[in-house]
Amino acid sequence: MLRFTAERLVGMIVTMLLVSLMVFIIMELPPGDYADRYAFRKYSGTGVSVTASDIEAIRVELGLDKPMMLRYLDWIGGIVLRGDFGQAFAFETSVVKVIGDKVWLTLAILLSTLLVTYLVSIPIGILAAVRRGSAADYGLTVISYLGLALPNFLLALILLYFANKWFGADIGGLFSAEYADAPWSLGKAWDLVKHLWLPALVLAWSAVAYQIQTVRATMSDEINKLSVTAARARGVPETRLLLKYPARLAINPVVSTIGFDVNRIFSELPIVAVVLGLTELGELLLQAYLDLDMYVAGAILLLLTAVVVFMNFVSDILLAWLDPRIKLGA
Amino acid sequence: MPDQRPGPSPYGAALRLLMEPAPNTAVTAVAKPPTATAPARATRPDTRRAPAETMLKVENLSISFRTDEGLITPVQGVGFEVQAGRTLGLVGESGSGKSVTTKALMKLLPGNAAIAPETRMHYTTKAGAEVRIDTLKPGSRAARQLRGGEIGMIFQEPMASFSPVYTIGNQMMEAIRLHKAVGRKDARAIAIEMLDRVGISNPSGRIDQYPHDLSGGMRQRAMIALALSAGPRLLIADEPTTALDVTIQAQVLELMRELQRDLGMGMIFITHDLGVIAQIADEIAVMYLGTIVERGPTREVIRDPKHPYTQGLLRAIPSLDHLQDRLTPVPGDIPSPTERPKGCPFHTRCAQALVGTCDRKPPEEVFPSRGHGVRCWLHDGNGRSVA
Ligand SMILES: Nc1ncnc2c1ncn2[C@@H]1O[C@H](COP(=O)(O)OP(=O)(O)O)[C@@H](O)[C@H]1O
Ligand code: SF4
Ligand SMILES: [Mg+2]
Repeated sequence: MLRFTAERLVGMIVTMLLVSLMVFIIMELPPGDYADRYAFRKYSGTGVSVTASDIEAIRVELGLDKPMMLRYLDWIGGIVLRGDFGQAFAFETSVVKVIGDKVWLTLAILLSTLLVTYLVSIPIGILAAVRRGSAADYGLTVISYLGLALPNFLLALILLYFANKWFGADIGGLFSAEYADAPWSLGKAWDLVKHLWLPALVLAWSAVAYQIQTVRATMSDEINKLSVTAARARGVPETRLLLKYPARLAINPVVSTIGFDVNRIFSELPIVAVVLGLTELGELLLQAYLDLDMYVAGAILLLLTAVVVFMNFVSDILLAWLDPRIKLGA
Repeated sequence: MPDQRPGPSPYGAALRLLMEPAPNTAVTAVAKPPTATAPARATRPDTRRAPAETMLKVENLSISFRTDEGLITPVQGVGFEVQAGRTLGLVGESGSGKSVTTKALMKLLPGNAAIAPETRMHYTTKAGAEVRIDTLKPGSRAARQLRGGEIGMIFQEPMASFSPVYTIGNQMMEAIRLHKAVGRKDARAIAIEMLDRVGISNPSGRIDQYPHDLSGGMRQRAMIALALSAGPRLLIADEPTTALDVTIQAQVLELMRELQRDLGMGMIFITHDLGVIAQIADEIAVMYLGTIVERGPTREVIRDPKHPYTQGLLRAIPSLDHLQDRLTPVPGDIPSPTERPKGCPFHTRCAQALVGTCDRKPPEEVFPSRGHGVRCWLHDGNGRSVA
């Protein structure tokens, strides 16, 4: 297991480096650079005419004139060695200051969504398989089809409406008014938790429906395995038997799709964030792209992909732990 | 289906030995007791045993399944006994209801199965207590204590009967600790001892391996060790040698006979191969379409089969020194469980069927000699008068 983990760790680091190179190339893709944009913004309407050499001077000042490979090495070196993601040109401060809190809030939304997804779908999927053909099974199946059919921004609106009605106006966003700009404290953290369940539920919605089906299907297969009958024939009590033998393998497909879930959550987050008034990275990413603020965009892209790659690593390790045969094939 | 076609049996010799005329009793009486250098051979020395105690008595066992095609009853009115320390061989073609019968004993039938109310299954535990298996609830504590602790079970597929994600030791120690009040350390010691006993080399290393780390023959041995680890009084072996090649089959069979003798277990040994049965069973019950058509002491049933189906099965066994002889399997196809024939279930394939009798009324069990029962109108004095 140790060796397997080490191998996967090396694999993850190599992937991250390749990804960072790709992110950097993507950052370079839009036509023009920040120097043009900066000059336009600074001097438009002032009557000053900007010459090509002025722009070139800005370019040199911002370090944008160096060859691309060198700029990449500067950039990645700063990130790895100093945790410095570069300058946020439009904000005239460091990238870290601009994205700081938003990174943690996005991560909090992501993790709570994953938690809700798995804590709801795995037990229900197992139960549906064990009670296969019962009224409860059919009920759950119908509900989970509904879950697949209902778009989650619609769900967000519906939930928001009821939440407002029942809990007062203070439910959108991630913080109550009194904590929004307050420094971090225990009270603020608790306030965050109280606000997180709603976006988590909304974002988890379709994944829950999908994963219930997956768990139910694999669990139904696993329950009928001879090894389960054999364990039963040794007198293993039923609940323990189901959890120890078939359930362990039934969550395999869920664990192996953690990466997909993370991807999906990231792509659905911006629209849900708009509806629920959340602070997250997606919106900033779009803004940075429009402003050609490349280091902000790059940092966000890199962090989001890093999260996906890391979650894939976690999923690999979990899979190998769940099913030791996987290590053989590695 | 490989199940229905007996492969070349290495037990032809043992079988022929059994089929020869009985040696006179004087010879049997002076037979040398087995010694370390000359272990007991193929035939079991059952004549020298003390009168056995009946540990399991099944009466009138009928099992039905609700299926998409309607209600089927693949086991009907089955009765048999197992004596403590002895082996009952349950033989019959695939689909005759052997596995379902033993699942009923373990309360392992699926949810769509029902056991008929007139069924009686009496079992005597290690402690000497009487248990009515037919009245046990499948999920109950009493049923769980029976499973594994009193009655162990081994299966045809050694790989499939282990969970691939836990070590052999994990699964053995779980079984041991469920049935014996021991801690982890003692359970591990018991498991290692059991692995050693079934002939696995380096048991203290093997115990931490996964099932896929073992070779086929070793896995079979490990599975036997797993089933025996909680010390059952009765072992049900459901075609334990069918999936093995001939050499390993012989080794496993030898091991099982040895273990049974040493541990004094009763055993129900299921197979479709009468040659294997001749090697290991004290008593035989021949099953056809969910009914026991003939039963009795192995030697007697094999030497003097009364039922046409048993006679057919015996003819189908290949003999080692007449390999050129074609096998003559019982002709005809097994009727599907949804179309169980009226009257004697075998009459659609029986060359000796009595028209007007066999296809009308099922024969009752009659006993041509003591302990040798058969269900066939040919042996029932009332047979010809039914029509
Ligand atoms: N789960 C089940 N559902 C419906 N019918 C079954 C089920 N299990 C067994 N049967 C029926 O019982 C018959 C006997 O099966 P089985 O005991 O496995 O035969 P054997 O072990 O002698 O080969 C089968 O032919 C089938 O019709
Ligand atoms: S009862 Fe009739 S059909 Fe059945 S085995 Fe005997 S002779 Fe054949
Ligand atoms: Mg079977």
